[in-house]
Amino acid sequence: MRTVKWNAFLSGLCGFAVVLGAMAATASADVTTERGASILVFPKVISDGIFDTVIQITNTSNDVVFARCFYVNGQLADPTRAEHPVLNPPLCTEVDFNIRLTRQQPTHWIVSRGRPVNPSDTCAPGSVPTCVVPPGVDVNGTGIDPGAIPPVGDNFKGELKCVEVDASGSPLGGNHLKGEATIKGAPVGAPAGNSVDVSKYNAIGIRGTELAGAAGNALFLNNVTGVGGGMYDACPERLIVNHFAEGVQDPVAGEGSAVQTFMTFVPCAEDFENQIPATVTLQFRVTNEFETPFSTSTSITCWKDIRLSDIGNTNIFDASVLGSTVATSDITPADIDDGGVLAVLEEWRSDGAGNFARSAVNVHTEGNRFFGEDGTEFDRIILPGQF
Amino acid sequence: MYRVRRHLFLSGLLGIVGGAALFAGAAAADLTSDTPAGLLIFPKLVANQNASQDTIIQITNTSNELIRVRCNLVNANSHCSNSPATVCTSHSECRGGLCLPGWQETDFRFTLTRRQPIYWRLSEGKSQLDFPLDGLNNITQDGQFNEFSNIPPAPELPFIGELKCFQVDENENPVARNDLKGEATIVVTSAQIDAEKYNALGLPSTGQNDGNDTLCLGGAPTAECPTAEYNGCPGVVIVDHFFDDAPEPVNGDVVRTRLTIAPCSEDFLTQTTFKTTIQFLVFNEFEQRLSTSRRIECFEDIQLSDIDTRPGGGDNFASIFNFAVQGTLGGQSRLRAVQTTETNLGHGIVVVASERHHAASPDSVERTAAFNTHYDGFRNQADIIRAPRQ
Repeated sequence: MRTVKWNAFLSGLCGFAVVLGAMAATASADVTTERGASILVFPKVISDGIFDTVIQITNTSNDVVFARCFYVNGQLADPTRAEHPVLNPPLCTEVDFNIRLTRQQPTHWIVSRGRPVNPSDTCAPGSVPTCVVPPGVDVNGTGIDPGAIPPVGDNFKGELKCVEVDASGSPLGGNHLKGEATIKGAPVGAPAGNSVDVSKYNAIGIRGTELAGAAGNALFLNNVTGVGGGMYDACPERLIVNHFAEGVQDPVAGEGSAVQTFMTFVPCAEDFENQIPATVTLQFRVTNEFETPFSTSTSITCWKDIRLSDIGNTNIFDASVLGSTVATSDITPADIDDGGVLAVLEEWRSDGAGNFARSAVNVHTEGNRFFGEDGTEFDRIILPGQF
Repeated sequence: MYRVRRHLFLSGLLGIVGGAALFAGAAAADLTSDTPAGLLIFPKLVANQNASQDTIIQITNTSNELIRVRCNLVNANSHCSNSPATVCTSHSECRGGLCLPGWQETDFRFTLTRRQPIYWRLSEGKSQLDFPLDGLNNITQDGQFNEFSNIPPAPELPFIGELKCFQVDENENPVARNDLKGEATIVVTSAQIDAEKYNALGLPSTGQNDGNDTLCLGGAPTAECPTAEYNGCPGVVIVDHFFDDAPEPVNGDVVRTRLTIAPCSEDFLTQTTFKTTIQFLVFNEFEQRLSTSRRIECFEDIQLSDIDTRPGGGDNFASIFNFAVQGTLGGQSRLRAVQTTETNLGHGIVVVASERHHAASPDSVERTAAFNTHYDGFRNQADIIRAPRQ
């Protein structure tokens, strides 16, 4: 069945192959952080007792929308030890659930507690910060419950993917979903008076077409905006990140302050059916303010949250090596058969007293993996069967 | 088998129309905050020495060629009618006078060598000698440097306003390229350090530009704008937010949200402003819908609950953006700037949101997180930016 669909795709591809040749060089990036989409990716979801994450998802249409969502726990098997591909790999365990949103309905939940279906939303006094007494109602649960959303386990660090489906659970390219993630917490090591800080980013959206679902639970990220012919928009060819040099003094906070940057990567490809984590090797080309280039690389399996200074066992991101306050990094999958990646960036600022402030931001993207320079492969997301 | 044939037919059909849709598809794309563009908008820049607050602006050339950039910094401070040098936010600060909205533009230009990132503090600007490749001490291997580059500081403090930058050629005429990206980080150091960051909004070039100082953003052709030079501003801005004064679910902090709304059309040539009506549709988690509207002039930075009530917190409990009215923590607001029949300007808007979290105690430190909003649709009415002539 998949072969047939692939041939159908190829036949369509032939129809505009000539045009694609001209398009390849200028094809824009296709994932979006600002428009409704059919697949939402929240690359950084943390619930580890220090940080917690609030997920917001909204149906932007006037129809009821269904979605299948997947938590992927990228925490290391032993979080107290360094990552090792064999001895201490990421867990990469997946838990899925379904949500249903009525027209234009926004919803939210905290990943540590989930959102049980509780029509009365009763609560015991003091049980949660959102418990209002009297009458003993948890206002966190008010609204139409989108479905039974499970809590994540202890020490969860990973991603959340939600795929728009129809009422039967088949993938649908409706592009009706948008989302945000809010991460709250006070970092370890911050002084006692350091109030709980907040950072927020938009979910990365992958837009679908009318062909979404044509291959059942196999989602092909092989479409290019403005060209068509694929199921879902292709992942970007390149991530472009503006960042501060590691450890550099913040220009506003001044003496004693420092800026660190963390990047969270998730591969675009995902096989939930067979639970096979994807691995991508990333090449970093770093340019400082003097146009001096540097480079390094690292590999991502399943999920990785990494400080820039820890990338590639090198110090090229350090302020003393970079020699400038800011830099730009072009991040590309290294090999021609590597899939794409998505990422979100979080900056941590500390002042002279050790207080921290975090701010998250979506990264810029360019090109796409399917029709880009290395475009021989596209990413696939394989959903588990529905029995 | 039916499905197979259908898909073969559909794919073939797409193949036929794909080429035709190629350029139209590019033109139909919207505002972007995650891809490089030819025109950047930073809707919210603030600096306040009393609050130890400043904005760090980052702009990067994503191409392998030297590029030039022209920018227009808009001072949106209000001033007292009885003391024009006094910056105000409400009439009560003017001791009998009126707090009049202001709109003053300063333009500047700079050069970026290939792949070069730069940053500057809003309150300090960046002089030619502060540019990394100043042409005296530092140049690139092929002799390029940041020539003709000088960024002035904010004209007054405190400052609130916006910045628009667009890519130009060596003659400083707008050019059809998409090589710019940018970020703004608002840092406060008064009590505890706090930071919020958002991506500059980009309007990609459509591939056509006549090179004059009138920038045409989307829309139907008019005498002044026969061709769209940049993608148009969006038809609808979509913001997910917590309702004001809702208890934030992780630790019970009180949450409020501010929206900063900047116009897509600007007349920097004659320094004139215009009013735009914005319709708000607000949905809560019960799918219940309420609506309101507001007229803004040029620029507005406003807390959600003040959109439909008086400024200040006294009657915020009655706002449709308030948790006390909506009863659920989360909501979705859809903003639509009303189109008119004018052909010499548009009424498109761009928005950035900022969430503010407070603990219940009165001496708590405010924690903030800015985020880019979502968009949908397009506008038939072109937006026009008239840049000062060179």
